[in-house]
Amino acid sequence: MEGLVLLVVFGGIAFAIAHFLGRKRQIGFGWSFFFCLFLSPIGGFITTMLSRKYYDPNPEPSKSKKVWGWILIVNFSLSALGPLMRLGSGNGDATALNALFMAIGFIGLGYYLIELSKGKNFNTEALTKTDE
Amino acid sequence: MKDYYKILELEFGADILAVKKAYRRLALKYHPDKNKEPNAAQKFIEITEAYEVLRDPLKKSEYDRLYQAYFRTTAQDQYSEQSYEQTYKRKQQEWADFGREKAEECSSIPFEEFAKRLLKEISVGASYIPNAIAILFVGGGAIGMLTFLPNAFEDGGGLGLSLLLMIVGLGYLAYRLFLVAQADYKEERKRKILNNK
Repeated sequence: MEGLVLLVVFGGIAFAIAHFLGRKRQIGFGWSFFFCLFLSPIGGFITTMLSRKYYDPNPEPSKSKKVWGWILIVNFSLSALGPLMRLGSGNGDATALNALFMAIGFIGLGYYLIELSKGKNFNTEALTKTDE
Repeated sequence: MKDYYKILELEFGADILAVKKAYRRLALKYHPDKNKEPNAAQKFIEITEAYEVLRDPLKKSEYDRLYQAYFRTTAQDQYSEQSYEQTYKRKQQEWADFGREKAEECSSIPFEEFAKRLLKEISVGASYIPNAIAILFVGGGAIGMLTFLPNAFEDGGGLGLSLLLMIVGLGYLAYRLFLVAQADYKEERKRKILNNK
């Protein structure tokens, strides 16, 4: 019951952040909501705030974002193996589930950073309107 | 006497920041490369002349004194008629020449380049509330962790080092958040000015 309440509260906060902040930024609603759910609302909020409000149509490719993206993917893919094996063998507990959840969030962040390094606009609809 | 405040659509005594804002708005509107109306070039010269005087604290205070002497009868006792006439004529000519020179210099620049130069001067601050909250949050976390640092190093190097890394990470994150807020603020101001909002 407690877990369900927490999930509803987290989901509500995640939705609010994604709707009111993420939707207006380059990150878009979807990614903002994903990070708020998987990296906690605080992590999601900070990631959303790190996203630009105005989209640069000719961005400079960022090597550091790409490198960090791959570091996150490799590191957290490996760290997700432990909890996955524990869950697979039936010895999984809440801690293993949390760790897996967090790992998925960071792998997502890695993928997001790699896409961002190419200058991708995740929120075409809102930001194209602003640019006009 | 030319009313520079009126030219810039300001009230007498407006501060330098307001003068700069008004100039940006009007100069972008009347730049001869953009505005093809017959009186635009003349208007641009007037705006530039007014701006060049009112943006300089020394010239502005000189002009304000002359302005008061000319437009406000209560302050006329500060100047005798003769000294006022002499000072005004000399200054007026000097300012007009300088303003015209500057206006010609600015008119020769294509509008896009002129706008780019002008908007470069925008002072920047992180004014968005969500950004400010995020910066305070992250920055506050870093500062909070700093208080635990001495004890962490006493207990053992490993804990202190990881705490130090976290502080550096949070500090860097706060700095990145500030940069994003700054860039967005600058972009928003540019768009507002270019759209004359």
